[in-house]
Amino acid sequence: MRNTESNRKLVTRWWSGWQTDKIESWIEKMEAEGWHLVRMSRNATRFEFVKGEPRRIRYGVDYQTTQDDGYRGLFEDAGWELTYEGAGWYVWRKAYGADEARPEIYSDNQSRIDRNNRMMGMLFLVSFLQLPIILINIPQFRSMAFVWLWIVYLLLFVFIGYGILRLASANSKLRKRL
Amino acid sequence: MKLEELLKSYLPMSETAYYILLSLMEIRHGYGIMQDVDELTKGRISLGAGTVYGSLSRMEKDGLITVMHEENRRKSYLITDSGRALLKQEIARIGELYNNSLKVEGKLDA
Repeated sequence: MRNTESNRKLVTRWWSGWQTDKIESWIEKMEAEGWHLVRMSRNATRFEFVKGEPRRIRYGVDYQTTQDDGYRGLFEDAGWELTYEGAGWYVWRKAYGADEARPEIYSDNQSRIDRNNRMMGMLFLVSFLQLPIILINIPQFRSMAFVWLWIVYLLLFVFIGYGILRLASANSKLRKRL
Repeated sequence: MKLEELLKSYLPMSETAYYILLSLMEIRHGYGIMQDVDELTKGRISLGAGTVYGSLSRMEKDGLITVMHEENRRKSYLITDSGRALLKQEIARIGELYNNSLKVEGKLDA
């Protein structure tokens, strides 16, 4: 997974929308160790770092289903720099000083709940989109030759279902603190 | 949305919604609101860009605020009559909280 040279590091790391805190903290830790993130690619699973001075940088992952022109402008005005954008996902970053509070893209729980709801909506949509495909193909799928396809679908639905549960449970915790 | 529905969905207001509406008594863009609220609360409330973006989108959709102008990917907003009506109700509620606080404040240290 790791391709390490003296001053350059490529890391492949899978992460999911219900664990954005983890990936944010991980990149922040890399920056603190002097690994500057220069590029994210392959659906934000590949991270390219270059060695430099330790930096104190907050990373924030956002998910938006509708974006208007004001979205980027507002973040940029507030000092955030866009590091990655793709399929509704945005990774923003902002440097902060030792005496400053860690910057947050979401400052209240209601807006965190709203963001989680947008992700859940996307997961529901992805699963509903599979239904017509499955229904149309049911006659062929009956053949034992397609067992692997059923397994793939089963894994997909388990994964999506797990994601929805995690987001719903995060939201119910957030709601208690509203 | 009708006023009763708005009252039901927005009141009591979150600090975020309250300060955004208060700030939009004057025309401001998103970052201007963040700076204004930071100043009004002496840094106690530092609104996140994502939080402000989401709130502005919802308030605009609900007709509490309106876009006054838009340039360079920067929208400026102002509170509407519905927004004022809502803010007025919230201020009355906060006034009640405040007046009742005054009644006990002196006794707390006793």
